[in-house]
Amino acid sequence: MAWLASRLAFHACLIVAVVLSCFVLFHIVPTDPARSILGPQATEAQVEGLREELGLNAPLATQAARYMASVARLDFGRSYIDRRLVSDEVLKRLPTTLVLAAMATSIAVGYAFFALWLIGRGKARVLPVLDFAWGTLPTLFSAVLIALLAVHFYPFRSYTGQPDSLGNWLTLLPPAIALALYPMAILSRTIQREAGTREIAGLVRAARARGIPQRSIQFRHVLRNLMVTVLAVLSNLLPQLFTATFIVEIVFSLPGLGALMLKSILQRDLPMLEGIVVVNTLAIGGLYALFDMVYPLVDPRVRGRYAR
Amino acid sequence: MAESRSALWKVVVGAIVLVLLVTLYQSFKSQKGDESAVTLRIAIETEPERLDPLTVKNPKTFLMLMQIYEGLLGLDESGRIVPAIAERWESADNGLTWRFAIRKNARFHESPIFGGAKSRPITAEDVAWSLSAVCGPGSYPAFVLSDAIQGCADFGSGKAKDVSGIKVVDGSTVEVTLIKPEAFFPYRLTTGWIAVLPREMTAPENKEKWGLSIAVGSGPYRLVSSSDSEVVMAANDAYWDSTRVPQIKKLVYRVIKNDQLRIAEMDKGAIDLMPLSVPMLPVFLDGPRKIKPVLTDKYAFKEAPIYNTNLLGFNLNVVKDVHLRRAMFFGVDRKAIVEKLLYGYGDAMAGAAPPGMNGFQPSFKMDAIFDVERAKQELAKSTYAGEEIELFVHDLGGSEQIGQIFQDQMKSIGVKVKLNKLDMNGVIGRIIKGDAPMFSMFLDYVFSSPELVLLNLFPSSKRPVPNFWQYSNPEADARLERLRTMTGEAAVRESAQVEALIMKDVPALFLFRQITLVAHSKRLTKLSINGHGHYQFERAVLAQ
Repeated sequence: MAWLASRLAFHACLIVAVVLSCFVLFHIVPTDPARSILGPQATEAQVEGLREELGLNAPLATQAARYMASVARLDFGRSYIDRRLVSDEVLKRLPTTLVLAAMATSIAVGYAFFALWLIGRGKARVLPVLDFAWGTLPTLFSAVLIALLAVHFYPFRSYTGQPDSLGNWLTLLPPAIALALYPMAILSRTIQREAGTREIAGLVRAARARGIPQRSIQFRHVLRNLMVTVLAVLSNLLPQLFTATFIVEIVFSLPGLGALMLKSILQRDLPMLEGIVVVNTLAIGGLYALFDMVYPLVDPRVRGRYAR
Repeated sequence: MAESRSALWKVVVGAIVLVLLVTLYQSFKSQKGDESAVTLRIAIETEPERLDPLTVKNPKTFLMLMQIYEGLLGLDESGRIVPAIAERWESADNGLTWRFAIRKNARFHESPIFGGAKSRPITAEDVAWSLSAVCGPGSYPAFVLSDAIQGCADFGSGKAKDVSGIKVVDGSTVEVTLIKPEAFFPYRLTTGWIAVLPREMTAPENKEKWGLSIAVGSGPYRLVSSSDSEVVMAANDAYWDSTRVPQIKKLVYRVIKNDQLRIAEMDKGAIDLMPLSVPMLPVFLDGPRKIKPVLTDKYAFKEAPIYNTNLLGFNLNVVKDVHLRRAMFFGVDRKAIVEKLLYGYGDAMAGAAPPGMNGFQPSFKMDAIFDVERAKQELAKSTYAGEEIELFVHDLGGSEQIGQIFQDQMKSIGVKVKLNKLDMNGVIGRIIKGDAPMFSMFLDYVFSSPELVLLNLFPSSKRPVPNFWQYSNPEADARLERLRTMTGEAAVRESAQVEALIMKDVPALFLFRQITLVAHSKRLTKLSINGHGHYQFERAVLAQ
């Protein structure tokens, strides 16, 4: 319990540090938010009025303190572009990104199971070729390719903005496949390598000698022993996958966090960017914290180590 | 035992597959159902901004905005003012005061923002409130009115509590008093930015949703749903002009950012209309302004000469030598840039006002403008000693390519140009700070008359913005002021002469006006697009 509390405290400190440093970084960029809001044609008097209203004339330390207090209340301010609430906008787009990442993870894990099944049946020779293909295709290229194929052969292409209907979930399937390709390759390769180790081979031999059916050997005995490695690989892959959703969202024109981030960078919409970075940090920090909690559950050695 | 378990397993899997197939079919059918004969599906390349005329910046969002909202006045395809919410208007005191009579049968769209009543008529109070909101703090289009209406700028900077120049005369009349007379004031009001909005938009329960899930105007279409990937509108069957109740009952705007995917979707028949971005043009063309015959058989095309300009500006405090600027003026081959960059879809121009704007006659004969010999003579008269002139370019509107072509053309007359690429906001920042010797810029004009364009860009009083070039010429200032009270042919003629006078000093190299090529289904006919890029779908016909 103490260990869990220390891990959570560590992640909380990390998030505070990221929020603060991203505020400082974004505010040393030479840009004038009031001018961004009012445009190049606004008079200097108008711009000055808005600067005062937004509190931009205050010293940076005061602005940072105000910002941290607002973030603590989950108030990230308003977009410089069209004055919408950053928190609303980020939360509105988060489900699309999360569903996309979850679907891609499911596809990658499903493919890993398939690889394990093929290994159990001794038909894994095709896997290295496939894994090489999935692993070497750049996400941008595979996303465009899959999107073009979808236009010609897949009927679900109209996304209404939220994953709230079967049609919308089905629309997310091609981008999820594009996103899953790289994790598929890594997980499959990891499973092939681990399943071929002496320990696992001995385990399989022993189970066969005891007359246990092959399916049971693969999915109960082998998988349980591979779980820690698979989780370790997944915990490293998920942040990368979360970032890759940004590329896929742009190619498939999906309104997720990635598309919003690119738009905000191009428009120098700093409050929106800060909101996205904070949510991204929270999501990835949360994922790591989750993995920290899951390890002891699946591995008695880890459990034992922390119990001491 | 094992056999019966296996059979059961197969039945379960079979049932799941069957259920999945039925659900998929139903879902596909419901998607297809949207694509009825009276639905026009439009592809757009960027996500829509908030559908709020007071904050919108992206011209692509205007494509949608102008279907929902209307202002006092509109503009037809030929550039003439047409009545909208105002059915009549008149000026007094030589154009210092303007009275607008509000149409009695104009109503806002039905919306929950009106509480029990589903909708309500537009009143003079709504018009006065909307014009004041445009002047208000944080309003992006404030610049359209702030230097014209009395008290507008003070209201915008928080110095006044209301706009002194906007007055409700009675329930259906609004009076606007200007700072100085303007015979052409109505041409400020034709842009989609100056819309009539319901005051209920600021109610606490509507404020955050405004422009996102709620957008209520009085235009020919009303908002049904809006997300960052799709905007759906339905025909406003209660539109005040019964002759223009839309025949196209539904508009679906789909965001497809990737050019290849937009083309593929159009090819598949899933899209009925798309404006072609410049990188897409080579796919559609055989040569400059020549569409491939195989595509003209398949689709219809429309050219939209929208009011815009692409220019290279000078900071006159840095590039002081007028002969050097003139050398560049005569040495730049505008037509070559249009051919190379826009595949012919543009009009070369040397002055600020684009062709076709309110009868404006260009002050230059374009065939005589490009003159290398004259450029070299001007350069010889200058004090230019071969130093590099820094040109700031950005990442939008082909700015960098324009810079590169310009750099090559200048090399041939002996002027060295160095490109410095920043993002668009960065370039604007440098212009305002005054440390960009030259800069690339494009302007979408919100004004629909040349007098306004000139009065906005060149008076000394407009420095540092929007007089980006820091231009100051007392004679030009005086003649621009005189334009305020001129009307008709005299105003058009004088505008051309003042423009020619200003261009002698070459504050900027105006290069071209871009023409948007729109590809659409042959089912769509009678499409008209005005100079503000307003697709007047209520006039169009979609064959069954």
